[in-house]
Amino acid sequence: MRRVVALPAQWRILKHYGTLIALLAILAGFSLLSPRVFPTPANVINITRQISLLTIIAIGATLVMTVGEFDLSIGSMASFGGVLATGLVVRHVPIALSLLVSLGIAFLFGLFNGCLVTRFRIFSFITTLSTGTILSGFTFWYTGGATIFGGIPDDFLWFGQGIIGSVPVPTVLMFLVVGLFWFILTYTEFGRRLYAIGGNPLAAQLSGVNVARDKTFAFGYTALLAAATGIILASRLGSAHPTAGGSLFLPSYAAVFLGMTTVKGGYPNAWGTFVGSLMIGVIANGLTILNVPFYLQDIVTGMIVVLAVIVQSLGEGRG
Amino acid sequence: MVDNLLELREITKLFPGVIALDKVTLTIRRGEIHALVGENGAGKTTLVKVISGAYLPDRGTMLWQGKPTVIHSPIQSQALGIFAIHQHRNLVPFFSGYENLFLGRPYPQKVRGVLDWRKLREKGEQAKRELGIEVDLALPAQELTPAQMTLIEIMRALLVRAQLIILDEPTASLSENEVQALFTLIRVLREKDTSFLYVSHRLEEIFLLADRVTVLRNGRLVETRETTQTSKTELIALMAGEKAGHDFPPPPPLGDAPVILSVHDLATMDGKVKGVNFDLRRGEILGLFGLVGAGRTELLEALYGIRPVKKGSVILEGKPVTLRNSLQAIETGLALVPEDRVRSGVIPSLSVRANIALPILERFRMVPWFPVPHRGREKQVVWDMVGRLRIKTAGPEQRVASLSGGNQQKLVLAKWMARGAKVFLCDEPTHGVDVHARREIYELLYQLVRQGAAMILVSSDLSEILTVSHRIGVMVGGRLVKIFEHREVLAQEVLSLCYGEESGCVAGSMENS
Repeated sequence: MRRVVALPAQWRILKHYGTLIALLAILAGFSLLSPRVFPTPANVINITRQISLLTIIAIGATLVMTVGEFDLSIGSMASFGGVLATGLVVRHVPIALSLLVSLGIAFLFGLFNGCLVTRFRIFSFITTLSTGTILSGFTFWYTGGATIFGGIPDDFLWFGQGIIGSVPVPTVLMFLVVGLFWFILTYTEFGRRLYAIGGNPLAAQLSGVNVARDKTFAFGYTALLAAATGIILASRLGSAHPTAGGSLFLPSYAAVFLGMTTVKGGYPNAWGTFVGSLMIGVIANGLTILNVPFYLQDIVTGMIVVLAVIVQSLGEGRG
Repeated sequence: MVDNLLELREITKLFPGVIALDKVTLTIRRGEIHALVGENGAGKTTLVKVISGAYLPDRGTMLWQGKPTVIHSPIQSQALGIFAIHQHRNLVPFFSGYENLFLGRPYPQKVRGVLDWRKLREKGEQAKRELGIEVDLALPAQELTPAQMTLIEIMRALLVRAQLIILDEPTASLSENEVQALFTLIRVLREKDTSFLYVSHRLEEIFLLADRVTVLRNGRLVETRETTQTSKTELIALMAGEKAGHDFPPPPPLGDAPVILSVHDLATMDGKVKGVNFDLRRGEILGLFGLVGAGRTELLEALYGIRPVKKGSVILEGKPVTLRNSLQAIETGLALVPEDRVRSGVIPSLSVRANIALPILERFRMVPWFPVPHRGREKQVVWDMVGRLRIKTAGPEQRVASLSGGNQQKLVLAKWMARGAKVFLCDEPTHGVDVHARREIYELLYQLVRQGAAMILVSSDLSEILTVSHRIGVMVGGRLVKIFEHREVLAQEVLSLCYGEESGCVAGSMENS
């Protein structure tokens, strides 16, 4: 049995909107501390570009988390996607074809993950840890451990460096991805079934949901988004490194967990993940402007995730 | 000497939008067995949780041995001497009985930090002797029967010198002999001045065991009475708030309805079902009775495609049914209403709407090729179902976790009714459901068969089967040994059949009226 802390009414507001209030507080704090750099339009656009990659890969993580699974291979998949697509374009393969091939392989790889999890009933944690390791082995093999750079066509760089009006392309792609998967999760039959599986897989199966198929597709889309993230990353940097995606892996789950605290009931959701990612991005951006050492950024981000989850858990479990 | 062990004065507990407990005033005397009855949602669980420290009441005072006390946590309530034993017992599955006995308390130690196994066993065996309990404490909890787990919980309670033991539906999955053993133990402990708060749906037990009984209804305390001065009929009336009769009308007449489902020589791989034959007619309720392990649930699961089938054929409306998975079963018009609602019937984290609409999402598409359900149409269908089945909910968006058991069961039925299932496989549909909701569920079953559905009703409550079925099938050892063709069969006939080939315990309580 679990102890329930009785919350006064004013606390409930904190519980339900805690993450958003914290985000506003952080924004206000940085604006006061750095009034001439932080709250400027240029910096706002800068932040959205900085968080775009994290957000896209985290939306992928949101999908597998919705069905109650983990995918630890998304970091390796991002590296793989970036390296494969870049490798193809520098060999003069048409860009569209390169993207199609990279994303297609990623999707199939995700489906393979999903099959292992659903058909053989191996914990997704173990499955994706292993397949991710295999994948990163392939990535190193493909590049010989080296970074791919030079000879990348300008059109390929557009995905990471281009600007539409005054908005960077990655920002636009991020909002497209968030909006699309918010719609898919909330309104489509597929999304509704994913939430049912996450809530109670057995009851979902007995109610006619093809749990194995839907879960497998969730893994497919997760891998697809991870590879897309890797491609945009390579395009943005103008080079592809076989471990480039690794640094996105942990923050992406942090973003999902923060996002879960933005809704009552605490389930993974697309806009929440965006808010989580935004929070992580704003902290990194603000602290960098204030010249705070980079390791402090990690410490602060970690503490904020823990704090958000604690606030969320207060007063839960009543029924 | 204070005679009142625990006094609750005007305890009120509020949840968002609900008054779970409304000024409940209750006294538990020293050495008393105090029964607590009420329908699902009457506030029994909330009251137990307030006493055991899981909930803090919003208003009211508690007196423990005459002293005003605020209980903030289960740990504190245990320290005071209150020990709650829940229906789902809190034991670590892979720990032995000895280890479970000392769970959450200091283990005997040789030197600081090193467990003294010998002493642990001695203490356990000693407690066993004192209480005269027969249970192998060397076994891990996962290999024990529910009855043995309850005994270990009671031993735990005594090791912490509990003065008040709360038992929540302790006999739910116990056999007749085990129930008797448990009652003997409870009576022995009462002689030693231990008090009990006994929560149960089984009214017979209350008259066998309890000194006083308190009836809750809608969060209010209706009355506390000496058990010698009341009757079962009266208690039911107090719980329901109206004079509820015992008998329920028979199911709607069948006429010459055609056969809808034929089962030939059905057997499962694991041998739990061995060559079952029967026909089911449109509009018919076939009751299935049998002892525990007779293969009733397994038969339903085989029909639903979730238990591997060795041989046999099933024909639904003239077409053969493949028994490979639940998705196909649903496609052909079968619907399973599983015994364990929370585990396999509903999705507690989702709304009433999402639960009912889950199997029929495709029907609400705005355009046939675009898999996006139309919210408005979906809500309308769901709300219509909620109204027809009288599901008590604040609205279609309420989470199912916060519905009472009876309403969750109605929701499972609503889900299949909305889908238009042809054959309902109901496994203990009234299990753990209060008197009032039970009647509502019977009415629902009748409504379904009136609309042309057929039903297999598995129940361990013989009086239930005798009341609401057209025919009564008896399963013994995986075989359907007999189908009584008329409702006027006697309980003794059914029972003697069950005991004819196997000795064991009665599957469920006999609620003789």
